[in-house]
Amino acid sequence: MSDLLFLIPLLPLLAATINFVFGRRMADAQTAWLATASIAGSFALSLAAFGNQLDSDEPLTQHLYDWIPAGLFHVPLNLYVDHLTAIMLLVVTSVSLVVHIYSQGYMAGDPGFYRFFSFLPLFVFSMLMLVLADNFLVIFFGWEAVGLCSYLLIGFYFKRHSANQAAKKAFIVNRVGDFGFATGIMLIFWKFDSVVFSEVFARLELVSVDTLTIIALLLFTGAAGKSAQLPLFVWLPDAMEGPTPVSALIHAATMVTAGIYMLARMYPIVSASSDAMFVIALVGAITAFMAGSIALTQFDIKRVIAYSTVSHLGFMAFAIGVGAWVAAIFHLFTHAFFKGLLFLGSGSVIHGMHEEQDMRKMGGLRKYMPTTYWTFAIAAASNAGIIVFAGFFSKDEILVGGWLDHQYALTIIMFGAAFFSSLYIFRAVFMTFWGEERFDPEHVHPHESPRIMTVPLILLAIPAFAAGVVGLPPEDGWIHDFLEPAFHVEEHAEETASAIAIFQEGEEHAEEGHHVSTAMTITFFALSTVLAIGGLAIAYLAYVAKHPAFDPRAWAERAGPVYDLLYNKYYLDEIYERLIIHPLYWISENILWKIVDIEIIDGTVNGVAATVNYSSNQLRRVQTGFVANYALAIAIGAVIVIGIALALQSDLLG
Amino acid sequence: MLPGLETVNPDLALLTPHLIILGLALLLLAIDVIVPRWRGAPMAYLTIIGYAAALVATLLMIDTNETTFNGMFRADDFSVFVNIIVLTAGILSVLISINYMTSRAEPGSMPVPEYYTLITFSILGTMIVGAAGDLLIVFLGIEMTSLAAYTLTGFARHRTTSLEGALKYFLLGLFASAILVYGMAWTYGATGTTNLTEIATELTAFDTAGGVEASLLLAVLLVIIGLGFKVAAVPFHMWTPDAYQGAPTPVSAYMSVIPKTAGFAAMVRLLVQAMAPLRDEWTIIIAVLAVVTMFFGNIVAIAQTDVKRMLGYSSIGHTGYMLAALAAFGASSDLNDDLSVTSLLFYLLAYAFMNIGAFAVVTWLQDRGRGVDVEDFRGLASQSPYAAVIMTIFLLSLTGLPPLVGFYAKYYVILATVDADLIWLAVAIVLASAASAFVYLRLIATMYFSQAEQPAPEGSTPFLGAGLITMVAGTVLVGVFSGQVIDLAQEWVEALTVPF
Repeated sequence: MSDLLFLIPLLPLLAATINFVFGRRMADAQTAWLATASIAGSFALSLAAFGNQLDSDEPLTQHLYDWIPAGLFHVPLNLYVDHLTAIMLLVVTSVSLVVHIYSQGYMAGDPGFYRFFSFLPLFVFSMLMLVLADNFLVIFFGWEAVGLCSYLLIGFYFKRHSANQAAKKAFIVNRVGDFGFATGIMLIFWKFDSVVFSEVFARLELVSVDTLTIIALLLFTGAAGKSAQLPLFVWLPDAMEGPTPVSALIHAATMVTAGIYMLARMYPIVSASSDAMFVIALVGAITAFMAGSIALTQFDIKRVIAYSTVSHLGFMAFAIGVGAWVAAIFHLFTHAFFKGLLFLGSGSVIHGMHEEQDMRKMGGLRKYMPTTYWTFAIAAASNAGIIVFAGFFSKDEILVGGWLDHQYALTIIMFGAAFFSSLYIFRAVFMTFWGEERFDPEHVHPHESPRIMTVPLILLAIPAFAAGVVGLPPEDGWIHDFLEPAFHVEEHAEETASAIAIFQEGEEHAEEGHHVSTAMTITFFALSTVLAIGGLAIAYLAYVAKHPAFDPRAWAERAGPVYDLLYNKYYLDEIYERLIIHPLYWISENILWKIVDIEIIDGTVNGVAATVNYSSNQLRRVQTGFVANYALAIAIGAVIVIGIALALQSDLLG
Repeated sequence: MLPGLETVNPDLALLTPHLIILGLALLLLAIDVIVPRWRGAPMAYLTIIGYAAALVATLLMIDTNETTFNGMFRADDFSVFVNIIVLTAGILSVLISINYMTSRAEPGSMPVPEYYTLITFSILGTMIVGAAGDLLIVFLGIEMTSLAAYTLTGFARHRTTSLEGALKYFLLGLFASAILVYGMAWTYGATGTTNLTEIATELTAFDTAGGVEASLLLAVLLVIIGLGFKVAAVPFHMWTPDAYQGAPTPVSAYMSVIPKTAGFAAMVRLLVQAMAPLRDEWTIIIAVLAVVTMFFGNIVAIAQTDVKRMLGYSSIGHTGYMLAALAAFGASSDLNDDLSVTSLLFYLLAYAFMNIGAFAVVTWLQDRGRGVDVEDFRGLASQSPYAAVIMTIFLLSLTGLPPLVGFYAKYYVILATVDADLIWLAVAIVLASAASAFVYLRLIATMYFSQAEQPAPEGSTPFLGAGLITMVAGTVLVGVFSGQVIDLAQEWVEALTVPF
């Protein structure tokens, strides 16, 4: 199995290359099926790798070649699959496969069809490299490459101004995060003399906890950019300018969870610093709450789901921060399916409504598009955390983890976010599929999407409903047994007292995690269920039953400034505009351009160029063209070389 | 086995690549006489097949480390690597020559059969230098390479600049060879042997006895000067611009790589293998030559208007970087983990792809009736975008921009100099590279930002096209996979038993 690992990323790369080079001349169906087949191959191999890991604690590795072999800075290109990677491989390849199939219907007839089907496998390749990396340079390569694909795909409709703006915004905001990540990597290399994960983790006791805190926070900065945490989440809602299958794959299921995966991969570093852990938990909780509250007020169906994604990424970050590692990955796992399905479902709605995205112009669609409605409803229930649906179990473990870590205040905030989850998503369900038809029947004729789009919806609905079983019984399910070795490697590797002291905190959580009392489990189950059903009920009363006490307009007026705050997304874009963009423009124009650029740089460059040109013209005169002169030059050169050497030898010059 | 018997019964299997090339050269001569109608393209195919066969035979010899002919001939990883560089460069040179021979670029015709025969002999000479275990064999190989190169320079016999360049190259080359032989004679006189490993053993004895004698110092210096000419180090470079400008363009391309490889292979065999005990004496000389060479070459290149001449000066500049790698060996403190010779070999391989590539684009233009002036590149990007992009890739690689192979080549040399504590040399390389950017970027700017004045180049040159694609692939990929290449080059360093 180890020897075949390279095929997992290679197949999508080949498909991407072929489609990019020859796609223009190939039929649309050919490019699409080539891409889909390559992903299917990766999925099959990922299944095999997963099967191998099921009954083995020995990670699979394949050494491809030495990327940079020189001296201290030795970077091998290895592929590495342990239990954590195996789960990620499954998530990435399965959702990719479904999205590829779906896109064949969604993108049909688009003039950029072949371009789309070369970028999408390229993204899958990059994401797989990120997941399979065993050192910081390769993970950073994958990190930047998924970013690149994401910008390319956000700006896919490059003729639309807003798409270009959104791509630029994603690019710039991510630079901030990537700068932090890159600085963290440099710091790691400086302190540990290595960029290979296992070597770095084995040397952790060499540095102080303060250094580890700085490294962990820098890594979290990177994660905050990619996984859309406060204050860097502003790019993700705008990224919805890309085609909807892209939103489902990149901006819900896979790329945005890369930050969470990276933090989980860095478990030994992150868990060594309780300060960094607290910052992560705090940021995650506030992100979850804020994004959830914004989602309540939005009318664009994709934006509601986008803010929901940000909110759930906040859940995962919170889980990391409170040391509920398994719960974070568990939620990543279920979230990939139900959130991917929500996006694909919204894509099906948009497709059936002739590119309409405003929920105020929908309503009553369930009788026109039953498959879309039912699958969307399942995903919504999972997102809301209705009991027995997948999202319920994973979210519940995060809340329990927060409580066990004694972060009571933050856990209560998270309960609020969980309530929002239910309220906004059922608001979307009811506004879209229930109630009176608010679209113009003259021009819009809603219709169910073709089979090639509805079958993927059904395929995703299964795990969106049932993926929770891997976590049963709660806090002690199969996924705990499977993943916990990944988060306890150091327990065996490290024997020094200091290392044990560092890790003790992280282990306590895990220990307690195994001994959650039944009473507590039931309490949390009941509380979660009440909140989720409450959200559902309020949404029903407000949007379907039209109960006067729950009239959304009246509430919006009553809430006044709060509503405005939420509707305008806490004015974050405006704050950035005032605080960062305007001053930057001013500085770049008045200082960087007028003084630094024109005076200093241009002056220096022109001066250097003039000097070089002058000396070049003087020196070329040495070349006279006469052989005798050339021979003389050799002879004189020889005399000078020998003379100096002999003089140095004989101490003539001192 | 008795020494005498080994000379009579050599292990010829070790010479397989050399024998293939020798057989090919003789076969080409025979075909010229016996089957005259094969004189054109069939000869070129045969040449390429022969080089490829020798390349395969070479690759099969990786990890052998044996000597034969009484230690005169060495089959080790160094000779394997030299063979790889030379044969690759040979295949590329032939690929870019085929269309040129019949194009309108040169007045009158060029005698085709002798052309391939001479290139093949010259390649054989360089391979012999790579495998030399004895002063005499080094000299034999160097002369074999050079004599063929002199003739090839004058191959455009109806063009006086070609003849002029050849004559200058020949006269000065003899001068340099005489100096080299003089240095070898002093070496023999001081040590009493011509075998390279035995010289090293003898010199170790000298060294431990205290102080270096003037005779030994003279021997080292004369060798450096003689070989400095072959690799075009300043101030022994005077022939380079004239010869590069005068020679038919594919010959210039070939000349920029293969005789240079011969010179550096000889330097490694003589200075690193035989005279390593004297490295305290030669390091500083090589380092100073390196700095002078890299700055002189790159700065004078800026003022050139003839692209071939410009590439000639830039090739002097690259010699400077390669000398810096050699100097790093002299200053290295830990010879077991030393990257210097490795980086030199990698640089030569990288240089083969990108520099022959740059000359190939000039050939491409000449095949379409254009001149070799910078002005002839005006607006190429709008007329032949592919040619412009390809040229840009080669030029950026020569500048040393990642992720192209030129970047990796410089990176390893800089790493070697830093490891050897020659920080000032590393800084010099970076500064000289910055100066060289003026040269290369000017040509890129001419292609992209000037209005075209001449009609769009048209024509069909399939072989040249194949060569260009190979070289682009090499320039882009060899850097990315530099790990394996470096490992292969490093094997020799580990196999080499430095006798002190």
